[in-house]
Amino acid sequence: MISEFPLFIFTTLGGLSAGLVMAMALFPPAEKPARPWLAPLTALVLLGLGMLGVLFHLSKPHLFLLALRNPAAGIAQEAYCGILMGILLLVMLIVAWRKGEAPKALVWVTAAVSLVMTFIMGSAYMANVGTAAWANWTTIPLFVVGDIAMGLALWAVLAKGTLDKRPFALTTIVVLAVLAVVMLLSALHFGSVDADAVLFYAGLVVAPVAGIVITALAMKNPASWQPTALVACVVIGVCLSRWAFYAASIL
Amino acid sequence: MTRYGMAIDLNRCVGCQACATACKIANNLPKDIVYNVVYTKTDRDWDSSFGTAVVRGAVANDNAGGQFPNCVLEFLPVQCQHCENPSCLRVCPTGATQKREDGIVWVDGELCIGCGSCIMACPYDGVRSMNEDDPEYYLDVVVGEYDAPAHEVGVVEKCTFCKNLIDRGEVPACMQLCMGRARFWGDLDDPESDVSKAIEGREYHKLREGAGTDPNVFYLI
Repeated sequence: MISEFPLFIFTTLGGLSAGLVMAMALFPPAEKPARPWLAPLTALVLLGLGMLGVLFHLSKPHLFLLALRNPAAGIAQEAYCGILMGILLLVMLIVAWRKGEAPKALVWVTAAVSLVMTFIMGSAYMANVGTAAWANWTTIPLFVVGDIAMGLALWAVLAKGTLDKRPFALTTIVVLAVLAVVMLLSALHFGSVDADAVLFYAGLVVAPVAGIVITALAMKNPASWQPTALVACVVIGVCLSRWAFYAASIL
Repeated sequence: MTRYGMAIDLNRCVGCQACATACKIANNLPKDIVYNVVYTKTDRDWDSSFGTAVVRGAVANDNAGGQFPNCVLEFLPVQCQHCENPSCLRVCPTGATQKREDGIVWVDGELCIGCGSCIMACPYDGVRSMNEDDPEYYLDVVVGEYDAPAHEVGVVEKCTFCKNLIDRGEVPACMQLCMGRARFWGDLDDPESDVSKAIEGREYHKLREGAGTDPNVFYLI
């Protein structure tokens, strides 16, 4: 078990939520969905679980509100963004449930906050100069691109027929290709500071490589199993890379 | 303005561990907590690895390295470096890690929530400790200074430059027992202070300067 398991839960579930919101903004459904509340509810639940998970990282979880005191600290910035994102998602959920669709502006604002949160997740770790494996520029895209890739894959499941559409599929392939490069560079950096990088290479095969194959297949011969397979591959692959990332912790 | 710092003359340090012992006693430190570790080194690369120490799992503190007649045995005492630009200060979400006007970096146990961010951000591995469980002690009696830091579960601890002693005009405990007189302490902004005089004209090294923390502990080499 990694010592940072609560943070692994936070960045994976919170990142999945953030990526989903970004995918929702980029690729809104062409037709009015039957269950417009499903995606915001999913994002809200994922974010909530992630933020609950982070409490277990603290030795004194009952004092978690103190973590909002220093705006320069990565943890505080993540908390600000997470709380704001949660409020926006709750509004999105209520509006989508009552009116059938959330306003585009609201979705875009939530997506922008989500993007900032994924960036802060990466930069907070990059600031840890005591952990040589983390203090590298690749840490930021590892989180940002990983979260976007997971979000796109989950959106392919929640918005039926999205994966068959060329712009979405091409975007997914490009994001997964960038993720492959980022994972490879992260693995090389980890290797250079004597940190174990094996799971990065495993994640590279499971997420970007398998994900690109499935997406390319979906463009040629769409099938119902493909969105589920895509999200499974991408989430498992990103989890493998994050496990490798947190395993380098000095705690 | 006062800016406290310390110089440690590595040519005078004999690795007796008196400073580490003085620190442990003066601060009434629990079993698993150390603020000050005297590492044994078998090379003179001060930055890549601090070396080995019994408190860090080594079998002995005084094993030389190399091949006769070119053997190397060095001692490197490492504690919080009380940096000008402490990386721990930026990452502490609660503001528990603070820097006094005189440069001393300390942790307010009342505010610390035990997130460990400061431990991960500090480039000087091992200078901070987390009290994971209720502190256990070697003795059944409380030892050290009457105003030694409290040791609570779930709180990060580290060297305070013995601010409790400094505030009443004394010097850090590690200074008092140093038999080789290897440690020098005082105001870095005062050219007449012991530390300023010790540094003047001497070649010195600051640990892991690449991290950008600008430590206030000078190793005279």
